Amino acid sequence: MRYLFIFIYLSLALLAYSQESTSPQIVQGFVQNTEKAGIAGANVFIDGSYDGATTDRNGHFSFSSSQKDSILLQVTAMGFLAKSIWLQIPLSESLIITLIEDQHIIPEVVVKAGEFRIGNQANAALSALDIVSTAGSMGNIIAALQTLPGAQVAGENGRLMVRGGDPHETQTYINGIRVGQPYTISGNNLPVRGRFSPMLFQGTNFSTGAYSAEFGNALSSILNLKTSPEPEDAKTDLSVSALGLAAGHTSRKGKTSVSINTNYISLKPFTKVFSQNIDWTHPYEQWSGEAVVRQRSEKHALNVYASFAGERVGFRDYQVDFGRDVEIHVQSNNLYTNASYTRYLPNNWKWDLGLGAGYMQRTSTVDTLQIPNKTTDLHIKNKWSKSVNNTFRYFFGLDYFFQNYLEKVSFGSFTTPKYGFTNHLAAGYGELSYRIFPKWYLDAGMRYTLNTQAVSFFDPRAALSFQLDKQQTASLSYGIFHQQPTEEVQKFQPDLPWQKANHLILQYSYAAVGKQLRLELFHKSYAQLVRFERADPNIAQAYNTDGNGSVNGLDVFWRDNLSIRNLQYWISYSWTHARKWERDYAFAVQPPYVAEHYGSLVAKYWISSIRSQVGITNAITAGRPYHDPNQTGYVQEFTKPINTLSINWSYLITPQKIIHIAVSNVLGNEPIYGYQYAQNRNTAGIFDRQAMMPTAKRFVFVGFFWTISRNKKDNQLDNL
Amino acid sequence: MKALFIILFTFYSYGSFAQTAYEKAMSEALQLWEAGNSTEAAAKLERIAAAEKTQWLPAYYQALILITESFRVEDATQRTQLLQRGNTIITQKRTVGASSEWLVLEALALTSELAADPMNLGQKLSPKIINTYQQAVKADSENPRAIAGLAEFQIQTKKFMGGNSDKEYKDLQKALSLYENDQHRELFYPTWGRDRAEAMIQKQP
Repeated sequence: MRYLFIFIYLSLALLAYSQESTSPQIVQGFVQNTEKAGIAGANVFIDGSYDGATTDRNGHFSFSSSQKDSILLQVTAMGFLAKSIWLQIPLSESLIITLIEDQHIIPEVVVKAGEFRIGNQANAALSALDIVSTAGSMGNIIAALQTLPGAQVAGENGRLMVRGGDPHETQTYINGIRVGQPYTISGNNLPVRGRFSPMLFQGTNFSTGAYSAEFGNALSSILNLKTSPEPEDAKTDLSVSALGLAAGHTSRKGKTSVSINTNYISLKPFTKVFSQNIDWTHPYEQWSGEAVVRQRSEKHALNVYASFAGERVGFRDYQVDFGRDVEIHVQSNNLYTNASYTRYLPNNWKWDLGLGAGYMQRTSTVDTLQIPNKTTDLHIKNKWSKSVNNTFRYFFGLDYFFQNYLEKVSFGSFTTPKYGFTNHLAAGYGELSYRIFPKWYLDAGMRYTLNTQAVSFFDPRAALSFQLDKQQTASLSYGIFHQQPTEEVQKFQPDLPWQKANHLILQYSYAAVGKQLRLELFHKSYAQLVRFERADPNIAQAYNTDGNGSVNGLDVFWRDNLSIRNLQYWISYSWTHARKWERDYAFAVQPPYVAEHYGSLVAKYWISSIRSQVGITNAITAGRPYHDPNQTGYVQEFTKPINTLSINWSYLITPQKIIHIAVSNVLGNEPIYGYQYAQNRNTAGIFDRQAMMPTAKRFVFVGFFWTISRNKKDNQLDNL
Repeated sequence: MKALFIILFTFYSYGSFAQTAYEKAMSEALQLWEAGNSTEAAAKLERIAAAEKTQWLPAYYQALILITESFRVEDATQRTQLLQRGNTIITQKRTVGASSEWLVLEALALTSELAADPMNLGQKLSPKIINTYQQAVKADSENPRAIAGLAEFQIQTKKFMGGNSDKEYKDLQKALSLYENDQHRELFYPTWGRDRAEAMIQKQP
């Protein structure tokens, strides 16, 4: 009996230490990447045992193991996909193991031509905080974007223009869902602002051309604002500023957060303190409310945004066509909902369903003329995405857009019949991203659009990127883009063909920690641009789409956060050579809204001793062309170049209590954006003109922001 | 009686031999790390983790090494890779072992991410880091690494943003006394962080 136990004991011990009793086998080999270069520091081991080794500098490894027969060899290395191989031991020969680079990390560094990412990703050009802390932006997303190359904002309307395109050529999206009315209202030559607060968004994709097949109906550019998928923590925000009052509250229960914000803005105090070029009868006033619901689990994400805004503005100003001061008044009510639902499905499938609905009622009054209109927008989005593996992804989807526009004009007791248009539009799209060779990436997409006027077309898009090394990328993008004629033309003639543009962009980018350089050369050609006879679209003239044009240019962007402690700055420069034959132009000319050269410098410096961030933005814009009918020739004059210097200062009393002061155009330059000429000669035989200028030289903002939350780090820097 | 003894001895020795192999490998790995050979140490820990699926400490130390290394590397891609690997381990293994310790690791990984570009990432990541440390303290109010980690992060932030750090230094003192009386709950249970807490206290203005 005793021997039996001893036998069991011995055999168990032998089992446990079996490796010491059989002769060890050598496992050796070489670990390489797809280009046959050795990988150092790879971990090669037999699964379930402690046997293994790391590769040396040249990629070689060798270890001994007493494992027998069939074993599972695991190979892991930093930056490569792990590999498992079944092997028979003893091995007859030395192993050669090839590992594939982990593309999950690499594409983040690949910069697509024409695309500016804003957010916290590795290759982001700007972060959300950059937008609000840029001097001169006054918390307006659009104003901050103009410090990027390729983007211009004309002072007289405040709208974003990209690479020689007019403001309509850029479409705005939130979470991939179109926003019909992205701007606040304005009167004649008063700049608008972006309707949405930058604090709502975590990231932004700003494409200056050759954008993805997921988007359409924009000749030049898309701006896709993205909200955070994460629920927010409970907090209460209060702010008082020279412009008005705002209050917000967020409550959170588990994975759901609900936020309610209200806001009241009035420019009245500002117009009283600073001298104005025009006579305000009703300085801009806005009252708005919004609600945001966010929910996220492992299986889904839900984001619902709903807002209401009422706006009013009124002023009296000299109108050259009337030859006297005219009273202008605009009032609007705007409802907007944006809901998106994402479902994470098995096998790396993802399904996105989105709904955007907008309703805007606006009444413009010019002297005795009353123009009420109503716009209804709807966008339903359905998108499926699949990530096959790290080197191959694709998505496809369907879009439905509805737009209805109705307007009438009344003066005195006379009212015109209603006129306008209704559009139903369906689009299908698909795009794939594939690593065709090591270091070569291809994005290829196609968008098909069909509308109720039976207009249909295919828009192919493609981008090819080559990774020179870890920091440098070169890429080439091409695409065809279509856009409906604008509302101002469609309401008079709804059945015009779509306008067309081709984009070709060559890009070089260098991105290191805290430093970034981007150079882009582009060529854009236009066809089927809308043409008409007289200066402004109206009901009494004919429209055609015989126009065309081309824009060539160069964009430069340099950003450095690293070289000087606590200082970050960026410099951008754009050369835009545009020649367009559109609207009422006699032939292809540089359009009056395009400046050929413009550049800006943005710098921000953190001074910890006084807990303050100070910022400065200096923008220089070359003169813009205009046509002087009192002289011979056509579009023969240029306005003077404009230099604008803006500063801001944020002082953190505590991280939850912030005072923010901002002054735009500190030097008080008097920019002239252009001239409006009377359509008829005056009694002296001259066309009278009026300069387009800002209503006030400077804009000054003073505000106090207070966040009450359990989380002591939360503050309103995002709100400024 | 003798038979029973032998049976007990048999099982004891079987168990202790196996455990010794684990212990031996773990000690070797941790010694490698101490000697500065973090690549070898992480590789060895990965092997142990693959062999001992029920143990959380090999994976914990592997992630700790990767995340600690990420603070040192200059190259952005390398840093991202180290952090991604560390975070993957945390996600896969956090259900086993001390959740408070995993949370401290998570906060450490976030801090490393923040360190790459504090001016831009601070706004987004600081609340997350503080929140993660707070969760770690909540999960184990006696975890000196959670208490000291939170205190140190807040002291560093206040150096930048301004503010009084007296409460944080009190927390560091508390962490220090917890380090003194630390009961090793299991073999190789994390003990790191004491030197750093002491150094912080010494630098108290």
